[in-house]
Amino acid sequence: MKEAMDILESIGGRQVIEQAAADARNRFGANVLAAIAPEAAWTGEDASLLRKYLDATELAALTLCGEVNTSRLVDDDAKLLRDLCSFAFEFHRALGDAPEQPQRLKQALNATCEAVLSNRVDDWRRWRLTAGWPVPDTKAEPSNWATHLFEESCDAFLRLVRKDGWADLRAVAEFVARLREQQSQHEAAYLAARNGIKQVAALEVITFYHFAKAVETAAEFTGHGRPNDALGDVELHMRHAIEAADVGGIIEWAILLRWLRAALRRLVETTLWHQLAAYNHKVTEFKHALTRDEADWRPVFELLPPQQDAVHQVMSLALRAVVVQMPTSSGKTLLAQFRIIQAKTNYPQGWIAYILPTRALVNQITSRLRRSFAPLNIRVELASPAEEFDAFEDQLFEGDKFDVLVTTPEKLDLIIRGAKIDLEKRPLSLVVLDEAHHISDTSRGLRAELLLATINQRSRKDTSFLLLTPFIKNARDVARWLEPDTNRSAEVKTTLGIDWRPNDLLVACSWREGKRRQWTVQMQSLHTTKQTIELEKVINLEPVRARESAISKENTRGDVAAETARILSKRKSSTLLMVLDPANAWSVADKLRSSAQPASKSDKRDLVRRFVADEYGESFPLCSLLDQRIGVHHGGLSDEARVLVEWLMEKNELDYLVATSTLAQGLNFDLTNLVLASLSVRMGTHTRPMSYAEFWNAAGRAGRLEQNPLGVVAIATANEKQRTEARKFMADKVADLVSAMETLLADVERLGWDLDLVRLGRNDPKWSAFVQYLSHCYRQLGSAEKFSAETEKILTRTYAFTRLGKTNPANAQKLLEAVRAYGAKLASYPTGILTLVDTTGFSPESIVALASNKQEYLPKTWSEWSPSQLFRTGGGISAIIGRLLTIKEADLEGGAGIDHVLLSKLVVGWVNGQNLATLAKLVPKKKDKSQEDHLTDVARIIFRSVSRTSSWGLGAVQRLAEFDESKMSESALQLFKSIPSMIYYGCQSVQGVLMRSQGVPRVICESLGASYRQSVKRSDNEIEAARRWLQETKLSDWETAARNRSKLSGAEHRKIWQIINGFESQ
Amino acid sequence: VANGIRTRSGYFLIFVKNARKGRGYCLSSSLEKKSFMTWPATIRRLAVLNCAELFCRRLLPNWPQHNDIFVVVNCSELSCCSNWNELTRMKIKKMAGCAGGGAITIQLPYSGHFDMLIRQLDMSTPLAKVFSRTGAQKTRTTGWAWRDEATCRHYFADRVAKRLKQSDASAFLSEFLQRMPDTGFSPVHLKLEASGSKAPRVSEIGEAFAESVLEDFFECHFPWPTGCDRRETTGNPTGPDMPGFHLPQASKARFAFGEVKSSSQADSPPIVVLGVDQKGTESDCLVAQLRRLLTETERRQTLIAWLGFRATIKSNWKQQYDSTFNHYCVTGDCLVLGCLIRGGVVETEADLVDAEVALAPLTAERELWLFAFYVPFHKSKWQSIVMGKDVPS
Repeated sequence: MKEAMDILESIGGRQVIEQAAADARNRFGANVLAAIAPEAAWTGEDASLLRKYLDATELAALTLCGEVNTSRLVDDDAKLLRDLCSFAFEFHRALGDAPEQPQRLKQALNATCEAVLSNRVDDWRRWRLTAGWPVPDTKAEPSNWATHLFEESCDAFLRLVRKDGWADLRAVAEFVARLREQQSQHEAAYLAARNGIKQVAALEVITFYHFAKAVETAAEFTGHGRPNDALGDVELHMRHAIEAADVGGIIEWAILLRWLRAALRRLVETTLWHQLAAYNHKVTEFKHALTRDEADWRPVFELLPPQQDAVHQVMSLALRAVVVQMPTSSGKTLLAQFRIIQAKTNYPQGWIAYILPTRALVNQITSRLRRSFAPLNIRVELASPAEEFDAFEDQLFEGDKFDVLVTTPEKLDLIIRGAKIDLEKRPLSLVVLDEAHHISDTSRGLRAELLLATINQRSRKDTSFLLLTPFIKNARDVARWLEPDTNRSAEVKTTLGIDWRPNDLLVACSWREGKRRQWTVQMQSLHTTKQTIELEKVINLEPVRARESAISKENTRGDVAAETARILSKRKSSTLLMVLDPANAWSVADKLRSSAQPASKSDKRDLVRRFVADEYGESFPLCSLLDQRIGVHHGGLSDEARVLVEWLMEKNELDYLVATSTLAQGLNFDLTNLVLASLSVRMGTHTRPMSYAEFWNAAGRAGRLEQNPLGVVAIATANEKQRTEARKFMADKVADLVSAMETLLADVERLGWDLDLVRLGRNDPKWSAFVQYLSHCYRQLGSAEKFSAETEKILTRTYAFTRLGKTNPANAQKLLEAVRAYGAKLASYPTGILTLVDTTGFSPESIVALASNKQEYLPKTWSEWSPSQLFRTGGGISAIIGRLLTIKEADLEGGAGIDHVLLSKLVVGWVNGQNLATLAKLVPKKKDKSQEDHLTDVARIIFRSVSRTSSWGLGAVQRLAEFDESKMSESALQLFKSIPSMIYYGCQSVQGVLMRSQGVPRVICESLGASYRQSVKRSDNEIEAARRWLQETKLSDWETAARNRSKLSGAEHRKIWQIINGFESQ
Repeated sequence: VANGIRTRSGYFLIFVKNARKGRGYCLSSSLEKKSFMTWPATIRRLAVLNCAELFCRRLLPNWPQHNDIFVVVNCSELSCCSNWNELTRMKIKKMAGCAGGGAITIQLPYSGHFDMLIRQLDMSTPLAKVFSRTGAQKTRTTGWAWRDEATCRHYFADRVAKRLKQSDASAFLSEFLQRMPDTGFSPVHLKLEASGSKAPRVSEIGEAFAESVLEDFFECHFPWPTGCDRRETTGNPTGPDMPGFHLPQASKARFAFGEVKSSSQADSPPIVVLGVDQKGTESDCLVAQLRRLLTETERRQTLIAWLGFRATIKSNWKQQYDSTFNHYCVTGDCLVLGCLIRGGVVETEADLVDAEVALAPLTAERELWLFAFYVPFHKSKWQSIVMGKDVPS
C-alpha cells in the first residue's frame, strides 16, 4: 500500500487523483451530452494531464494487484485497489480509445480489467456499446500466428466480461477451440521464422495458450459451474502465462497478463457458482435455473456488486430480520429469491409472502418469480390487490396450492387478520417487504408496518423478515424492531455497493432563457450527494433562435419540460416526463406532439393503439399520440392500458412517455432521460412534496439503457424560485425511515386535535389501519381486561412506538393513553363487529356505521343479490352505493363530486361491459374541461371509486347480509362471493372474474370464460387451471371470443394477455 | 567467487564477493591454507568473513608483500549504501596511495554492482570516441568504435556470448512445455524448439552487445535478460530492449530504458534508424521506438512496473529498484538510451544526426543518449563469433 501511496504522492496525492477522476467522469458525461448540445463539451484539463494521472494510477494499482492475490486483499488495500481501478477507468473513458491498433486493443484491455476490478462492468458495457468493440474488425490472419492468438484470445476475454447471454460464452469456447485447430498449421512456420536463443517467440505463444485456456475455463465455469476448482485452474494458467512472459522479457504483455489475471480471478469470483457455493441442493438447482441456456431467457451469470455484498447475510438462516439497503436497479429481487429458496428448503411446509406496494409491481414480480422458480417447482401465485376475496381466491388459500404469494400489504393484512390461511397448519416462513421505505408513506405505509407487527405477533417467531429498501439511515433500528436480539437481526449495508452506481447520471435544472421570441433552453447541473456528473457551466441546450411562442412569465414548468425533453430526445433515446397530474400530462403530451417527428408504422404501437381505441374510443388523444411515439401514463388509464404503455416504453417504441406519480412507484424499466415538471406528488385531492427516495428511485432508472452511457435527469423550472427549490432538494441526504404514525401524530398535535381514536378512525382514513390493528389485537386477546393489561405490549410491537419512545416520549405516552381509551370503546362493540373489521379491512367505526339500519339499503333476498338484479338500473347497487358514500373511510366520492345515482349508473355500466367512452357519456361534462380531461376524469372515477372502492365496500356489506352460506349451493355461493370482484374487474359472470383475474382483456373475458368452462368443468384450483388453459388453448378459442365483440382480433387479444402477464417475451 | 585485476595504476586488486555476514567461515572446508598458498601470488582466490584484514593476516603471514589491495566486497542483502560508488572509489583510491597495500571491506547493495565496479576501476576502455554531438541540453549523441578486431572478437565470444547464454531460455521452455498439455494446445512444435541449442538471432546479439558495453563502460545495469522487440510479430508488447538502471557516480541512480538496432547497411543513416514503410509512415525504426519511450509515460511505467515485479523475485537488486523507484516518483527522472550497433561500416555521425534532430525536441523532460557502436566486422559474422568460431586464440 505504501508504494501505491508513494506513487500517488508523486503527482499530488490521492485527493488530487480523486478530484481528477471526478473531473474525468464529468468530462465523459459532458462530452456525451455535447453530441446534442455542443456547449456542454468539456474544456478542462487536457488529455496529456489525464494521461499522466492514468499512468500513475495504473502503476499504483499494479503495486496492489500485480503480484498479490487480489482475493486476499483486505479492507483498506482492497478498497484502495477498487478506488484506483475506478479512477483509472474514469480516465480511460474520458480519454477515449486510442485511434489505432494495436494500442486501441491494449488500452481497452487495461480499461476492461480496471472496470472489472472496480465493479463497474455495467458502465463498461454501456461505454463499449457506444465506443465500439475494440478488437480489430479484420483480425490478423492465422499465418501471423502470435498476433492472431493475441487478438483472438483477447476477444474471447472481452466477451467473457461482456457476457451478452450465452452467445458470448459460446463464442469464447468456439474461439479457443478454433485456435487449437489452427495451431498445427501455423505455429511451426511462425517459430521457424521468429524464434531465437531467447526463445521469445516460443515463450510468447505459450503465454497465449495458457491465457486462452484460463479464459476458456472461466467461461466454462461462468456458464456451467464447472470445473469445480476453476479459480485454482485460472490462477495456475495465468501464473504459467506470466512466468513465460517474464522469462521471455515480453514486458508489456507480462504486465497486461497481470491485469488480466486479477480480472479473471474477479470474474470467476463474481459468478453465481462461486458466490453461492456450498449452500444446498435447492440453491444449486436455482443457479442452474438462472444460468440456463434457453431461448428468450436472459441468463444471470453473476451477482452485481451490492448483491455480492449482501447475499450471504440475506441467506443466513440465523438471521430472522434482515433489512437490505441497496440502490435502485441493484437487483434486490434476486436476493429475495435466494432467501425464498432458503426459507422453502428450511421449512418445506411453510409459505412465503412477497409484499409490493402496487398492482403493477405485483404483476411484474409474480411473472418474474414464476419464470425463475419454474424449474424448481416452487409455485408462485398472486393475490389480486382487490380488498376482498372472490371464490377462486378462497379456493387458492385452501390446502397447499402455492409456495410464494405475491400481493399488496392491504391484501395480505386481510388474509392474515381474516385467517384466510391457517397459520398453524401452513406457517408463514418468510415475509419479503419490497420497497420497505413506503412504511413512512402516510397514506398506506401504516398498513404495511402494522401488518408486519401483526405477523410478528402471530407467528411466534416462526416467520423471518426480509425488508428491501433504498438507503436509509436507521436500517438497524428497523431490523431490531422486528427482532430485538442483535444476533438474529441485521442491517445489510453493502460496502462494495455503497459507492456503486447503477448508472452515470447528470442531474440538472433547465429553464427558458432569452427575450420575446428569441430564446433557448438553458441547463445547469445540480450538485447532489450521489457523485453525479457536473457540467462546467450553464449551457444552452440549443443556440438561441426565433420561436413560434414568446418567452413570458406565463410559461409553465410543463412548457419548459416539453422543450427540454424535445432537445434531450435527440440523443436517440427514450425520455420520461413526470408531471403532477393527468391534466398536465395531456397538456405536456400535446406540446410534444407539435415537435414530434412522424413515426414509421409499428405493429406493437398499432396493437396498443387499437386496444386503447376499443376502450376509450378512436378520438381518445392517446391513440394519435402513440402514432407519434408519445405515450401517456396516469390514473385515468386502465391498468391494462398502463401496462401496455410501459411495455411500449420498454420495447423502445416510444420517444416520450408523459406520466404522473402513478408510474413512479412501479417504475421498472430503464430509460435515458427523465424530465420532471414538478417536484411534488398529487395524492388524490391534495399535493405533497416528492420525497428524496422517490426522486432517486426514478432517477436511478435514467441512463440504464444500454445504448446510452449517460442518464440525464432534468428538473424543468419556470422561475428562479423553482431553481432554488431544486438546488435545495438535491442537498437533502439519506434520512431516517420514520413511521407514518409519527407524521400522523405530529399532524394531530399541529392541528390541536385530541388524540381521540374513535373520532380519528371514523373521520380520517389514514388512521383506519391503526384502529384496525388495535381491533385485531383486541379480538385476539378476547377481553377488555387482557387488552388493557397488554396495551403497552401491543404498541411495542409497532415500529412507531419503538421510535416514539426515543424521539418523542411525550407523544408515546399520549398514544398509550389514547389506545387504552380506545380499548374501552372496543369492549362496547359486539364481537361480530371486530370479526368484520378483520375480514373487510374497514375500521370498527365504519363497520358500525354500515351496520346501522342495514336493512334500509341491503338487498334482502338472494335473488336481489344476484348480479342481474343487483347490477341494473334501479337495482340494489344504488342504495348500497348511497350508504357507502356516507362512510368517510371509503372515500368513495374521492373529490369527484358525483352522487350515488350517477355512481351506481357507472357501476352498472362498468359491470355490464360498457367501454369507457360510453361510460363517459353518463357523466355531465364540465364546461372548463376538454374532452380528454373529461374522459380522464371519468376513467379515474371508474378505476378508483367504482372498481376499487365500490368492490371493497360491497364485499364488506355482503358480510353484513349474514347469509347462511351453508345453505347455499356451491355455484350460488361462488356467484355470491364473486359479486364484488365483478365490480373490481368490470364483468358480470363468475367465469369473467376468473378470466379477468388472469389478465384477460375485459371485452372478451365473458366469452373466453365460457369457453374455459366448457373445457374445464371443475377444478380444485381454478386459478391455476385457468392460467394453464389460457397458455395452452388454441388461437381459435381466442378468435371466437373476440368475434363481434371487439375491433381487435383474437390473436391481438392473446398478445395483449401475454404482455400483461409477462409471457410476451417467452 | 573472487576476481583479481591489475589496475591501470599498477596495483592489483583482489575482490572477494558474497561474504555473508554472520555465517562464520566462508572459506570452503575443502580449501586448505596450504592449497591456497600454492595459488599464483598475483591472483589469489579466497572467501572471507566480515573482517577482511584479520582473515588476510591469518591466511597470509607475509602479507602485505605485493602492494596488493584486498577489497572484500560484501553483497549482503541486508546492507545498503546509498552512495556506494563514491565511497568505494574514495576508499580504494586511498589504499592505492599507501605503500604496502592493505585491506578494506566495502558493502555493495547488490551483486550487479560488483562486476561494474571491477570494470570501471580496472579496464582501460577499448572504445574510441569517434564523434560527439550535443544537440540539445538533454541530448547526447556519441559514436564509439572498437577498432581492435581481435579484442572485439574476444568480447563477442566471451562477454556477449556469456550474456546470451544467460538469456538462453531453452531450459525454461522445456519446463513450460511440461505444463502445456493442460492447455489443450499441442506441445509438439515447441518441443523441437526447446531441444538442442538454438543459434542466437542477429538482433539478440546486438542487444546483448549493447547491454554489455553500456554496463561495462557507461555505468548502466540491466539486471534481467529481456526479450527482443516483439512488435513486428504480435504488434503487441512495447518491447524496449533494455529496461534497467543508470548508476552514475555523481548523482542518484535512475531508470534507464534503451532501444537497440543493429545494421551493417552501407547507407547512412541505415534504414533501421529512420525508416518509413510503404505507406510513407514511420515504421518501427529506432526513432519511432525512442519517440514512444520519450513521450509515452505509459510505456515507461510499464517497464518500471515490470522491473518492480522482477525485483521482487530477484531480490538482490530490490533495494536498488526501490531507491530508484522513489527517485522516479519524486523527480520523474529517467534516462532513455538509443543504440545503433554497426558492423563493418564506416564510422560517421550521419548515422545519428537525423535521429538526434528528430528526437531532440522531445527531450525537455528527460535525457536521451544516442550511441552508435562500430564493430569491425559485418553483422553476418556475429553469430559464428559468439558461437566461438573465428575467434583468435
